[in-house]
Parts: sequence; C-alpha cells; structure tokens
Amino acid sequence: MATDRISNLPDDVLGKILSLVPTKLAASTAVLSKRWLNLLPLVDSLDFDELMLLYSDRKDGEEEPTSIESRRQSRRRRRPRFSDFVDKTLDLLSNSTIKKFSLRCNYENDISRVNSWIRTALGRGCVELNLKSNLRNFIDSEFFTSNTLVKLTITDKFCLKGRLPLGGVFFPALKTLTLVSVYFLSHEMEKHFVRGCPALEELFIYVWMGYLSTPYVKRLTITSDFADHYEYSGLTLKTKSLLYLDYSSYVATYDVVALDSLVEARLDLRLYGLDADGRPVFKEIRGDISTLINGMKNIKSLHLSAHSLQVFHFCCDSMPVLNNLLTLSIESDEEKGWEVIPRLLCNSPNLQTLVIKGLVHRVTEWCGNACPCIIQNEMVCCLSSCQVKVLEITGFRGSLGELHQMRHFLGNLECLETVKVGVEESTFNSKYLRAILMAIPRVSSKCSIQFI
Amino acid sequence: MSKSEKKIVLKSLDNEAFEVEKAVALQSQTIWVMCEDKCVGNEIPLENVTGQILAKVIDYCKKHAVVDGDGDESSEELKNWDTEFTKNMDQSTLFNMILAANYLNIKSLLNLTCQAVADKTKTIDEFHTFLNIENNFTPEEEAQICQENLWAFDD
Repeated sequence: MATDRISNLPDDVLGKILSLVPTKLAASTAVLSKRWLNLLPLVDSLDFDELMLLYSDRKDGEEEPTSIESRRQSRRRRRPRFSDFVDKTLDLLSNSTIKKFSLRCNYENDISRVNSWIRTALGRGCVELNLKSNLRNFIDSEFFTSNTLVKLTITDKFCLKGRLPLGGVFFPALKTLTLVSVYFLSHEMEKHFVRGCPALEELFIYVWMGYLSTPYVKRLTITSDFADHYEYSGLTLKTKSLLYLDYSSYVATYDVVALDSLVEARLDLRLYGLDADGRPVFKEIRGDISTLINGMKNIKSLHLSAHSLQVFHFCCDSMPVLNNLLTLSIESDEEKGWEVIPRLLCNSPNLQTLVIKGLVHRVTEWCGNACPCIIQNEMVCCLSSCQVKVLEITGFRGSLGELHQMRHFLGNLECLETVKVGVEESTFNSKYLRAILMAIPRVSSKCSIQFI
Repeated sequence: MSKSEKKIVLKSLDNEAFEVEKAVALQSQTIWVMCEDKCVGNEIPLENVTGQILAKVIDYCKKHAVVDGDGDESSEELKNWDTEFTKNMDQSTLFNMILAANYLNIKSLLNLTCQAVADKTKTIDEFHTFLNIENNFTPEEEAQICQENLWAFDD
C-alpha cells in the first residue's frame, strides 16, 4: 500500500493541484487532513459552478425528483451559500493573482454582486475568464476591461450593458474570444465589443451575428443553427486579416464580404426548403452565396460538406474563378447530387489536389460528366482539362458505382500522378478490391495508386 | 563543440547512469543551474530520483526537446503523446513523477502530472482514496470546518 506521499509535497505543488479542480472541491479538501486545512489561498485558478454537487451521484444540473416546493426551497437555501462562498474565497485570495476565473450562475442574478466578482477577477490579473449564466445577468460594460485578459468565453445569458470603457477598448491583450448563444442587446454593442479587442486572433461564434468587422482576427469559426427568422438578414464579414474560416450555418444573403487574406475555408452551408426526404423544394430556396465566394476568391484550400455542394448549386448565381485554389476537398453523400462539380472544377484552373470523402452521390440529370452515371456523349469531359495531380478518395466501399467512378477519374484526369485510396475497413474482400483498382486503365502514364 | 560536450550523464539515487543530450537534460531548470554554477563536469548526481523514474523523465524530455518548425500538427501529436504518457501510470509512479518534476524543476512536466492527479480526483472521496490521505481530525473538528463553509460541503 502506498503511503501518503502527496501530503509531503511543497505547498505550491498542492496549490497547483487544487487550482486544477473545481473550487468547491478544492475548498472541501480542508477536511482531508490537517495538512490540507489552509491550502485554498494557494490556488491561482477559480472555478465556481453553482450547479456542482459534491457527494451525490447525480449528474451536474440534474434535479432530484421531488416536489416543486422542495426544489424551490433547496434553491433558496443554495443561492446565498454559493454567493457567500464566492465572496469568501475572493477575500481569502485578496493578495494573490487569479490566473483563471470561471463562473457559472444558475440561480444567482444579483447583478451588483456578480459584477463585483467579475471586476475583482479582472483586477487581479486574470488571463482567462469563462462566464456562463442561466438567468439574464447584465455585465456593466464600462468596467468590463483588463490589460491582462488573453482568453474570454461568454455563454448563454450574460450580456453587456452600459457605457463603453475608456477609449472604447475592452481587452487590449485578448487573443481568443468565444461567444456561445450570447445575444447582444444592441447592434452597437456587438460592433463595439469585437472592435474593442484589437489583439484578437481567434474568434469562435456559436450564435447568429449579422455584422462582424475586425481587421485583426486570423481564425474564425462561425456555427449557427438558427433557421427561420434570421434568413432574410444579410451577413457582413469584414475581416481582412482572416487566414482560416470554418463556417457552418443555414445559407443567408451576404451584404459585404471582405476576406482578402483567406487561405483556407471549411464550409458547411445548409439549404432552406428541403422536403421530408431532404430534396430541395425549388420555390422555397433562398439565399445567395455569390458575394461570399467572391469575397474569398484568393483561397488556396476549400473544404465543402455534402450540404454545401447543394448550396453551391442552388444558391450561387455567379461563381468567380478561384485562381489560387490548390486543394479542394468535398464530402459526398448518396442523398446529395454532384451538380456543382463540373462548374467547381472548371472555375479552379490551378487545382492540384482533389479529396473526396465517400465516392457515392445522388444521380441527377445535372451532374454533367464529372461522373459516368448518365452518358453525355456530345460534351468534352470536364475532367480532361483538369490539372489535378493528386486524387484522394476515403471511405471507398467498392460498389459497382464507385468502381465506375474510379474508372472515369483514372481514364480522364490526364495530369494525375498519385491516387490515394482509403478502403473502408468493413469491406469484405479488400485484397480483391485492390487488385481490381490496380487494373483500371490510367490515362496518365505517371499515375501511381497507393492505399491509405 | 565536440560530441562529448553535447552529452551529459545523469546519475540516479540508486546509481543508475543515463547519458543524454545536453539539450534534453537542460529542460530541467535544476540541472541547468547545476551546469551553469558548479561546472560539475559531465556527470550530475540526482539524489532525489530513482533510476526507474529518471528513465521516464528522460523519455518525456526527449519527446519535448525543441523541434524545429513546430507546426500545428506536431503540437497536437505532442498533446496525445502526453495523454498516453500519464494515462496508465499507477498512483505511486505518478506521485514520484510529481516529486521528480518538482525537484528537477521541469514546469511543463509538473503541470502535466498535476493535471493527471486532478483528472483522477473528481470527488472528495476520490481524493481520500486515490491520494491515500489519512484523516487526522476529530469528528467535532470536521463538523466545525463544514459549518464554516456551507456551500463547499453542500450536496
């Protein structure tokens, strides 16, 4: 049996361990033994979660199946205890730096108290701040500022209200900002807040934001699942330094898009107006991504989800020539057609690498001759002018249709040098399948096939 | 610099000798200071670390020795390596690693091993059992502590 060597560690190492667990647990270690009695002042990270339960097996946030009245009582009992605990802990640490401060309020909405906690954390050199609230909690924007904060996450119902801080600058050192289903009371505050973080490099938005203008951000992730009432609002994206965009949303209209430096984009755009089988209903299709694509026409690497392929087909009136595009990667799905592939290949004259995840797609009349599904005798194949040197197929299952498609690619892509095929593991006879693939005639004499 | 000057010998508590690249060993602030101050020559005795633990520490330092052109992918790979490194460590090895990281003053290894302890102690009972801490309070003293900090002991 190992002895209690951990208690012999120096105070600052124990403080470090306690900084890595929720503060409630850290405080409760006082009952472990006398050695642990007064260690709380040594922590430099605080994590207050009003919902956290210590002894119970229930999961966080799950209520006991008792009457409404007893739940209310328990809430009433817990709230002041939580707030007292936060106050007390902050007092206890009054001389130390708080590196990381996380606050999750579930019942507490005493605005002045919550604001004083946030202000205290910011005043003590906080580097990382996480705020989450289940009830509407206003943050006094005038004092929501710090020179040290590098990472900020705001979730749910915390929102900014009031005057702007001095000079309009909220967080001059902030590098990473995450906004999760936050809503801003006014468009003005939304604009001012992002603009008031001039060192921002990485921005994650899990909320509808109609306007984003920041000259500094390098990486941007937008994820919004809000359909319906946002559909007609236009989106403005003015992020001239942006290098990487990960954008997942229903298709919108785009007012102004300036993404001059963009190198890589991952798009997962979804159509409005799909019927029960996921097929588009033409009169309900809306939105247009022409402005979006035109705004990112310098990109080198583009990744499209199967949904996006549909959006590119139905909602892109004019597609610019993507002269710098070197790598195109698409996800394919048997429910979605390849109508846009000929146009995409034609508008990417310098494409070097084509990556396709899953080689199946829905057969439509409009796929042109990117696939051999419907024979189109009269046209020159769109693949033969294609410069693609590397073709990478993953999730290959070896169906007849997929083999036809491979034969089509290898027989028409004249510049091919390397074909990489990832055969799905469950495929019954992969050795046999490999032999068949190796035997497919190749139009390019330099072409080699690798299995990945 | 000749080849031998680039290497350094670390000697454990139980007299096991490890020859390592200087760049690997100097991730330890303690060793760095020893090299700077005492000019101890090429062999450094480490009186607090056993050979078994030192071998693991050296594994870690080798993996974390500065690699040129550190891109996104390699930092991701390093993270996974770190997770695997501590994942299956038993309790006693983990504590010895913390003690070693603390003594050798290797900040990132100390962070990693402390995080591994924090990950394994999600409740106060796990603190008791995993860390093997013996309670030396009387029941009255314990009740007093709980009373002073109601929310912390709220279930």
